[in-house]
Amino acid sequence: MSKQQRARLLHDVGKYVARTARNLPAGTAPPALVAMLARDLYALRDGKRASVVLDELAVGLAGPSLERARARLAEADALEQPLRAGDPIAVARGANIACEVEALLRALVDEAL
Amino acid sequence: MKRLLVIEDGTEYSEFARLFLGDGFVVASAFSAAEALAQLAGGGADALLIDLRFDRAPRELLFGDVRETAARLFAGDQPRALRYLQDQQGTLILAALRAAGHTQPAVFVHDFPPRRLENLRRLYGRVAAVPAFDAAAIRAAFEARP
Repeated sequence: MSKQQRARLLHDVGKYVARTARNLPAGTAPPALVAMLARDLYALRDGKRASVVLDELAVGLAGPSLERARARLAEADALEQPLRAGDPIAVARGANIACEVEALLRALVDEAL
Repeated sequence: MKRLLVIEDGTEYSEFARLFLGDGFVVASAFSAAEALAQLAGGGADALLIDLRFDRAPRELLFGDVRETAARLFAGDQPRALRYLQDQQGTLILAALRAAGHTQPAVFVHDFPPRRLENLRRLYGRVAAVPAFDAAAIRAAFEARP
């Protein structure tokens, strides 16, 4: 996969999946931010989950950073119900995952340099 | 309150700006160069937050002519020219705004290589880029002295 394709993964998945997570205030997140975080994780692009968008854009690519990003997003998918309900532990874990996925996809770009 | 004009092909930037920058800015949205020019001519803005890639915008809303761009840059290859216009639309819109005399500070949420950013600054004045949707970094970029 070209550097350009990796950059697209970082842009289309990494940048947008962490849009809310990076900016969540300490403490309990208000419902508007929980809803926005849920959109970042479960309706990232054209209503598709971040995990699905990642798989679509990562065709032909392998590597440890990508596999870890896949695993983290699978974990986020499993958190959907409690996260959408505003469960503070699920929201915090979902936000951590989103930031971690952004960092992993940034590492994927760096691996190509 | 300062006025922020968000220019993008979706709603992700404006949603972000309203929730995370709304304490310092009144946020307005534009979805094309024409809309941005109209908004700036009408009410103005103190700052611009601009998306770079417009791959969801209908072709007719893109700034730049596909045929002319293909002939000028891509030996007549129109699909390549269209991709170029989509991928660089934010900077093309900024060029149009600067040409119309709008000099507000502009911020991109994009990880430009340093030389590219330098070049954008040379061409378009007050331009900053932050690599992620980081509200504090975006706010700081707007407040930075030229």
